[in-house]
Amino acid sequence: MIEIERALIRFKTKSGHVDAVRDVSLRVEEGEVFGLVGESGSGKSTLLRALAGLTPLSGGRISIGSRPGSRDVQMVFQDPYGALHPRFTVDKTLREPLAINGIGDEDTRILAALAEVGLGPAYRFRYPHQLSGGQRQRVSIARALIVEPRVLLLDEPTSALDVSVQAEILNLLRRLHRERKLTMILVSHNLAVIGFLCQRVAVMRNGEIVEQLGVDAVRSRDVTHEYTRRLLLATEGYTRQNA
Amino acid sequence: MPDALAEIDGLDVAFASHDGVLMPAVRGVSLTVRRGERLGIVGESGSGKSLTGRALLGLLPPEAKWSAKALRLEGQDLLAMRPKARRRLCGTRMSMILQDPKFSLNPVMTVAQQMRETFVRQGVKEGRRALRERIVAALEAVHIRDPQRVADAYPHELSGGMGQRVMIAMMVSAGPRLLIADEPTSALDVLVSMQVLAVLDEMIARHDTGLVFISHDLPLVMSFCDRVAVMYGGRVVETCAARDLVHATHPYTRGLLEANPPLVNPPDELPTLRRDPAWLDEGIAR
Repeated sequence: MIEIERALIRFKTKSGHVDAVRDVSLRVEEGEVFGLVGESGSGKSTLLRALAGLTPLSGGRISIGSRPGSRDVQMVFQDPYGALHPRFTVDKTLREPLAINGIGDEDTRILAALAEVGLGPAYRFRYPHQLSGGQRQRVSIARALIVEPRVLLLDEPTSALDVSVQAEILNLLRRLHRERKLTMILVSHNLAVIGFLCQRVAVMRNGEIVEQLGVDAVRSRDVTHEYTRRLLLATEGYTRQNA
Repeated sequence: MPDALAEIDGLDVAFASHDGVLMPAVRGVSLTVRRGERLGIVGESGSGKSLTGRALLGLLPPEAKWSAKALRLEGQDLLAMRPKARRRLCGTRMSMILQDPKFSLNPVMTVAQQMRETFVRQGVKEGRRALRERIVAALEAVHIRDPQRVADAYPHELSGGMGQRVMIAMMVSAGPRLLIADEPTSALDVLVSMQVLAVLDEMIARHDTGLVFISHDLPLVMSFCDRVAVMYGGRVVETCAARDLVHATHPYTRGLLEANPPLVNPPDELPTLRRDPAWLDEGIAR
């Protein structure tokens, strides 16, 4: 479904250039949930943006089953406060992608999309400031789903939320994956979140993939790279040794 | 309590809504921090945990309507103090570290300039050169590898972890009796936050500083603090030793704990929190 071959993403800087993503290759099968984990600046979000067609590649190749930037590939961003237009009602937010893609029957689809993410029709004419963080993230997910994509790209979809709200959103994403057979790529710095949703995970550092492994290997701590081991240790909280 | 470092007794904070109705944000909170103790305050956004910490420092927003039976630091009544004397406590005997160093450091001053300001405020009377040495030593103490370069850097030239170390250096090097850390690592990466916590751990142990650690991350608080207060709807619903938090009894605390996805054997569906309206009004369980 998704194939990335030797991707290179280079940004110009004042003193030359920086390679945010270097020589990254990976495959994601149809219907799979794939995790990307790593620290800030490791290139995981940049790679996701390239998959969405938001950042051009400087080298290598990405094939995503269809043209990047088409309605088949939709993205959900980290910060639900910044991702929704503050002066659009939920209705207008959901209507716009339908209009852009020339999809009819808007009213039925908007109500169905809201129901799918667990928001009643009462939320349809609210503005983002009248919603909680979790409700906004549900609207962001509804906006992505309303055009019936095949691939959903998730950039830290729960890291701005309380853990109780995170659990609701994770359950929602898991149900959507199961019912819609969506292919998903999830970027997170939390291995436990990755472990809940994903089947496989790639660990990124300094723009490169240092390790790719199945989620069972993560759970049984059967990892080879020192960096992955430290990430695993950090899921247990603070100890004087793991700092 | 004889070994009490800081005491909050019966704190109420409320804000007026558009139509003038007072909306309570903190309701009758009483907490005690003992000398050298690390008290964690956990709860969701809006549970009143940050306001509780700020009330102790006298840093509530001006539009807040608040009252308390008593606020004390080392037995001294903070409510009876003149505002000027109370302000003088901030940055000397009490300090605060905020979530994001991008917003809490002054963007148009170098690290050395703002640290100099802090030290002078703390009563250090030294010449430029001695003060510079003191600043570099404070940066070295928080394990900044190149303190000379960082001292002359502006905040935007620092990473998040580095900025937070600078904050700790500024706030802890005077050896405050009480430090309030409001989500000090939630803007940072997992591994960087472990390093920042190690620095914080070392610094407060060295100065025997009491810590109020405000966070929504229960596993982190369990591993870093001695005692935990759980807040919901502006109230403390449960207080216990941090190591006993896994056996917490209040359904709200249990709900928060169980909502964390476990790495090993995650359930098919995560349990979500069912909020019981009765929690808002029940007596404070302690």
